Amino acid sequence: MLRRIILPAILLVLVYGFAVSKSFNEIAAGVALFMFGMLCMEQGFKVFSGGTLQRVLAASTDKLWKSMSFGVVSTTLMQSSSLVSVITISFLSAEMIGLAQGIGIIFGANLGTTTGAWVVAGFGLKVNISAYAMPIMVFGVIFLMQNSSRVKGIGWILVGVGFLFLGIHYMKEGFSAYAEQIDLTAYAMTGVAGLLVFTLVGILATVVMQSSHATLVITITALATGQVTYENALALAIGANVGTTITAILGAISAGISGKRLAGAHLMFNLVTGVVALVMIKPLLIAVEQISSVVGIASDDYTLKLAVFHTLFNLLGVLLMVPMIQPMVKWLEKHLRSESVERDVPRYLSKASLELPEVASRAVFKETVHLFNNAFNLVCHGLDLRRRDVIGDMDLHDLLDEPAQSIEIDLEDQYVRMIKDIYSANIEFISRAQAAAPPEYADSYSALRRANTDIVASIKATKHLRNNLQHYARSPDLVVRREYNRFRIRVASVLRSLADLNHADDAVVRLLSLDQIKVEAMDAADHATARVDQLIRDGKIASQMATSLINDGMYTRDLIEHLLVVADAITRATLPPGETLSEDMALQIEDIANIARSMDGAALTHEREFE
Amino acid sequence: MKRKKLLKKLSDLLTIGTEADKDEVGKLRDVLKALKVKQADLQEELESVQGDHERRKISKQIEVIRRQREKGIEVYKSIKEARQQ
Repeated sequence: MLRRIILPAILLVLVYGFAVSKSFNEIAAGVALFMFGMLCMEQGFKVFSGGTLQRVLAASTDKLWKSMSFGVVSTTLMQSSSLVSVITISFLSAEMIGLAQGIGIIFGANLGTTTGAWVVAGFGLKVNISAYAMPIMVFGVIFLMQNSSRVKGIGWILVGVGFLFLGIHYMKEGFSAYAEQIDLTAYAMTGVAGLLVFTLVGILATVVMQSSHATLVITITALATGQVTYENALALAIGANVGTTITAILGAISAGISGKRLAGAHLMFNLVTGVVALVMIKPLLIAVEQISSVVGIASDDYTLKLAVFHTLFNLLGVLLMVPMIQPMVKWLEKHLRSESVERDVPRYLSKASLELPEVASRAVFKETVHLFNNAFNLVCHGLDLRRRDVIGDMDLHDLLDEPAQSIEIDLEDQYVRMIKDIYSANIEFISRAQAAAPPEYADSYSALRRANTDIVASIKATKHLRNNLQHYARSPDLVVRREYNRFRIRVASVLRSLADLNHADDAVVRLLSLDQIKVEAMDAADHATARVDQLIRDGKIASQMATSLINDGMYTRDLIEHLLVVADAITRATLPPGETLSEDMALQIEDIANIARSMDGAALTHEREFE
Repeated sequence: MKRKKLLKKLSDLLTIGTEADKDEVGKLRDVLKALKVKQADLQEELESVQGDHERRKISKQIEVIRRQREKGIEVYKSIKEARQQ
């Protein structure tokens, strides 16, 4: 509702501004070019965020100083703390980093963003920046026209820098022209009221432009041309710092609980820093004067003094908040919790990660494992098996004779609660991510899509099997009960083997281990068929029961096949692109059938021949 | 000058091929080693385990690994042959 009013209002103000003032035209064009430059740079940096990203992250965020340095460097390079915080949220949602590391990056990003003020105040206003913009953009466009995605990425960054410079130039020109026409300092306010009002203006401007950097650049250029007083510019800078959290908050709306916690930490940090800066404005200004005189900044160079102030209060914020990181983590984990799970929802997917191929692929992989974990429980309970028995040391053959202990479960209802939302989100996410990802991710996404569809198919097979199992696994007839318990044992045995697979390290070895499970499953299926034939021949079961056993045997086989496909696809998704070894060494279906059928009793001698 | 450049490009391409082969051979060796260890473990388990069902199961697992190793050795040989050519 608010958005419906705000956007037309902004458009109307702009149209009015364009009609009445040429200078306003230039300033607005400057802001637009500046923001477009930031978008181009974002586009460029995304190209470099794949592949080795995770390794770099792991190596550069394992200690607090490292994650802070990562935040400083990445924000200095990208010139956008908002972008860094949104990317950090996506890292956190995909569990690539922990909350404390994420907070470290955010603190670092706040320091990194201060470099922007230095660049604009120290360089942008002192030289004719547009003279650099043109050649940079020409080189950028030439790079954009190349085939290599990395060269294109560099092209986007150069074009972005060019537009940033051009934007600063237009803003500077616009404010200079304004200075000749009207005196905006007439609206200047002094004292506490001035501080509070201009802080609020800074917050609003940043929320509208979604960029503290843009607010700061406008403030600096306006200050350079004397359109804002130094005192009010300081308040605008404080406001920009608080307002910048809005991007992180918007990014966290679609993120999981960990992303929300990080956005909370970001808000807390910037609010505390803002309040401290407002309360301590006088001592800070004295410090700014002293630092300026030490480093040789002229007493009337207010733009550079603003940069000093901006750095100083962010540094103060970091110094104050660093000892608070652990209590902050505890507080956020205590007060921001996942809603009690009426319906299980995706944990690792976030819109922010969609545009970062490595993060998106990691997120959907983890979400698929999450889905499989839920399905694992549903399959166990659907077959009246307890998860702890399946993955524990219990001898599964103990289940053979005893009537199955019933586990109350409504599979239809549990499907809606534990599977449906995650499955739908995964399929949608995979479709979107696959469209945006480079071609080398295609195999991984196809495998994950297959894993998701087969997880759902395995639950459907469980539902079919459960219909008769509920009666016959508790049948007073031992023969019938045993056969149905054998179905349960077969599935439990496969589930146990799959759970054990997680302990193997290498993905290729894990994939090859699936062949062993396939042999065992095929062997068990063949024996089940042979046993039903035997029971019919011996007259131990009626023909109706025989057909039930044959049908339910098929459901069991289907269920196991789906589970194996899921395990295969999930493991395959972790293989490096172009890996063919698992294909070369895995056994063909004929080999698996041969081993399953030809080794009864003869395995020992057969094996020794090869030693 | 042009010929020199062409030769350099060609040698770069050839180096890329060799590097890829080296990676594949290294990975293959690691996998074969892991399988050999698994097979030895299973063999040891087979010696100690009682009961037909368990013995049969382990024997089949050993047979799967044996065949996979055989295929792996074939791949290794074909890479070596290709290199010699």
